[in-house]
Amino acid sequence: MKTAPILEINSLSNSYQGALLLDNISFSLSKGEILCLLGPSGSGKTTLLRLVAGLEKEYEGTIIFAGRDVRGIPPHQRNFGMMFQEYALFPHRNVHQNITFGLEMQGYSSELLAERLQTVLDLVGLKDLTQRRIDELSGGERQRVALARSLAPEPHLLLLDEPLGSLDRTLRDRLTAEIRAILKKRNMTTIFVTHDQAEAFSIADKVAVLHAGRLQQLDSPESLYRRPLNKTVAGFLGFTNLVSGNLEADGTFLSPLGSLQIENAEGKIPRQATLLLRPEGAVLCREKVRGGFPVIAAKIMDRVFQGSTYRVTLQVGTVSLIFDLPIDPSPPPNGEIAHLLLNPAALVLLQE
Amino acid sequence: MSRPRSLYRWLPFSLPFLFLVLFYFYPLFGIVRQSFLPDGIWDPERLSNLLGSPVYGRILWFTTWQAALSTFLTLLLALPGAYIFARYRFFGKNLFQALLTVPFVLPTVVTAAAFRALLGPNGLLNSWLVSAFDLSGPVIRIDQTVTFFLLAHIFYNYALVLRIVGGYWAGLEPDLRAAAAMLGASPWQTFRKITLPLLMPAVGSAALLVFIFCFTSFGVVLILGGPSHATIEVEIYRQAVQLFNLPMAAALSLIQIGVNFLLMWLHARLSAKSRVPFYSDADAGVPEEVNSPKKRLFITANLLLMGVLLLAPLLALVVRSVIGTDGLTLSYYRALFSAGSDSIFFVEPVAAVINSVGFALAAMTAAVILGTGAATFLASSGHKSSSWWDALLMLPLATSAVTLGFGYIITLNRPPLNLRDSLFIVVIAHTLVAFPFVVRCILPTLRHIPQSLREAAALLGASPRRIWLRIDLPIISRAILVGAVFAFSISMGEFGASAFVTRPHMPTMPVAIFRFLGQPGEMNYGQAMAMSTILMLVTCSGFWLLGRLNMWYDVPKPPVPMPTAGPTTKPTTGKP
Repeated sequence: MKTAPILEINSLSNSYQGALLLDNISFSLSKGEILCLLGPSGSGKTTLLRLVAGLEKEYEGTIIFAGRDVRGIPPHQRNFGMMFQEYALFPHRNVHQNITFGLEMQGYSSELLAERLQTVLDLVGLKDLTQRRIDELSGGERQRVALARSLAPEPHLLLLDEPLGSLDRTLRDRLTAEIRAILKKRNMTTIFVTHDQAEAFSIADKVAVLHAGRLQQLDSPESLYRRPLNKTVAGFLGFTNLVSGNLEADGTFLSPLGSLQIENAEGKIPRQATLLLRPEGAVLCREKVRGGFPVIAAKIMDRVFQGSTYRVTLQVGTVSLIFDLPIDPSPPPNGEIAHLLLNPAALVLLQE
Repeated sequence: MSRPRSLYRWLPFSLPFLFLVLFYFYPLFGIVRQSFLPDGIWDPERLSNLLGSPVYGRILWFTTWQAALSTFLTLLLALPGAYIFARYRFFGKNLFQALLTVPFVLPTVVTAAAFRALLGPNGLLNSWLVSAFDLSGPVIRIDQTVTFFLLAHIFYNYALVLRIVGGYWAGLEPDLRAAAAMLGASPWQTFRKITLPLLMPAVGSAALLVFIFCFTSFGVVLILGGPSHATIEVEIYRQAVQLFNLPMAAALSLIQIGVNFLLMWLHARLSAKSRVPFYSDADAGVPEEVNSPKKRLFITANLLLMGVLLLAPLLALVVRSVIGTDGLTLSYYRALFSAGSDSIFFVEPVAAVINSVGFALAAMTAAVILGTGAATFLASSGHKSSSWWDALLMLPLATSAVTLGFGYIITLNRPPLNLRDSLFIVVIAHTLVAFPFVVRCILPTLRHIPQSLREAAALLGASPRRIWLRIDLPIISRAILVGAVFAFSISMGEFGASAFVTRPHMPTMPVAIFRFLGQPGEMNYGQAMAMSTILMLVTCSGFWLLGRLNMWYDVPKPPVPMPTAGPTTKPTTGKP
């Protein structure tokens, strides 16, 4: 169900004191979609978010929302919601007063205001805390208040700037799931900024990887994981098994690992290339296997039991590889040679 | 086991405590006795006469309204300045920031002399106007009026408000404004609903401090206000020194102590609740670029005001000290070195410089020793008892120096403690005024040393004494240095207590300046200007040196964010 995009960003560039922060970014977003901007700190993701919000004003290119160029519209007239990194809850107002601030600004009558407050409170599960002061709340509660506050005026677009950054791991995992459920229930168009890949995967419909101000790849979480476009994206997703070699015209890849047949090798133009071997794409096998599945022989350097998998470090010539192998059959002890059957779908040729 | 340890803990406190008892509580007791038992006799009739006098109401009213008006005017002028310092980046910001510290360290007597030099009947502005338009007399006639000392109060407190409010403003989370904008608030709504309410504690705290300083103002009012105006402080001085009505002076002192305690208590409550830092530089947060002509004009106007208000009096002072009836001259400076027949001193006036420096060095040493001891004790005691002792140590700050000086002359002039002719009485008075500041400088740093550092040192074999010498002392050394410089300049500029306790043949610089200003004649006036210039240079160079020292002398900081080393209350250099 492809609809006309509600947000269109065309050739967006931004520089600060001579340094290019965003370099020619273009993408679009449909109504109800959740987009994650994923990137290391300094990649420009917060700048991009603040430009869309209207909090930063200098840029080249266009930002079009619902068919209208938003350049020059001050942030308070855009009706976009934003959740800030440290929440920016107003310390002199209690939970209730924080959440209703946006509604007051829109001049809501008190009945309508109470009704709307009730709705968002139900949504985020904060009923009993309305009279609390902000400094009496826990991290998770603050996060809910901030979300409720940005949702209350029913913004056309919700912007979230690392909203879970300061919380601990378990709370984060729970809250990402909750936030996604709430946003989907509201059919809220959302841009979510994070540097955490797991967070991005579990919350987003689409993930945009930013690096050094450039948009590296925009894809669904699964496609991004399965087929990272280049070394930068692969590196940021935590992939380490990168092997350089030569791609032949028949689609074989020659490297210290031997000759491997690659599926979907684009163009099959002979060239120097880098191959990614995803860590979950291998199983132990006996020496002889039927069919044309690629097999490599490698010396086991280290094996760490991790519960559902064994993390095994292997050495092939000068190349060191790390795979997460199933625990059955358990890998041979250190120093022995193991044969690995590779899943062809887990071999990805990267663009330079 | 706990017993010997707690005794050990009390050791550094014994000296400051003894000092307070002898030189604070004993003189205070003398004042109470003097006001209720004048001449040692319980005379209800005289007492009711004294209390029924309409003088109190009049003076209290005058003191209050001039303080309120000063506070209001200062806020009016300084809040826009605080805004531009908090929000914008502009050319010369650091220079202006440095300039803003000058009023902090300037003795009141120097301020009064500087305003005289600029706007007085013989001041620069008047003589220029007279010669330019060929007039018969001075045009600006604000000498001996309320306007004159209100101006001086604004000069003093402008920087105070700007620093407190500006620093707090810059520290407000910029995301809060962004959040309000994202929720649909216009810039004006954001200011009214978010910024202003958040700023109120700082504005309230600054206003209260300004009120306190103006309420206890002494030197400025005495010199600029003339004989027809008197705050409580000035009246205490007049009653005691000029009219010799000791019971009246004592009664006024009691009123002053009561009001001061009330105000200080209010301020302590307010700042404890809002945690308004005192001596922060207004450059936290992310300053904005100035990008519109309207903003540029606003900033320029404010900086201009700042420059004129802060610099003009000081420049006038320096200029006036080298301009005589026949143009440029150094004769005023030369006259400071001679004890001529027309001199009002028995010795050459330059001796006052030597006296002041000597007293200041002695008071600084004593204040550092007492302050370090007291801070060590406070840092090591539990939270509850510590705040009690802390308040006790701060009592001298809430008591005006004039009251203290008065207390000294009525109690320390006879056995068991007769210091009437001793030079020590000046040093003691200065130490008492200065050492609470030293405590305020050292205590925050000392409290921020994590206990684990001391525990680690103990496990590595250091005795408590060695822990103090090797861990605490090096970390607080910079704060001690800051405290020492504060103590030195407080002593250099101290006037209220000195006016009572200095002996005629051993004047300090502020006392000498006051006497020069009180005498007629061009020569006396010029010498007052010359000596004020010297005093200004001495006190300012102390702080300049401190800034330099900080650069060379890089003390390792404790592993936690250290608060700014300045004291948490205004260094009332020479005030009141």
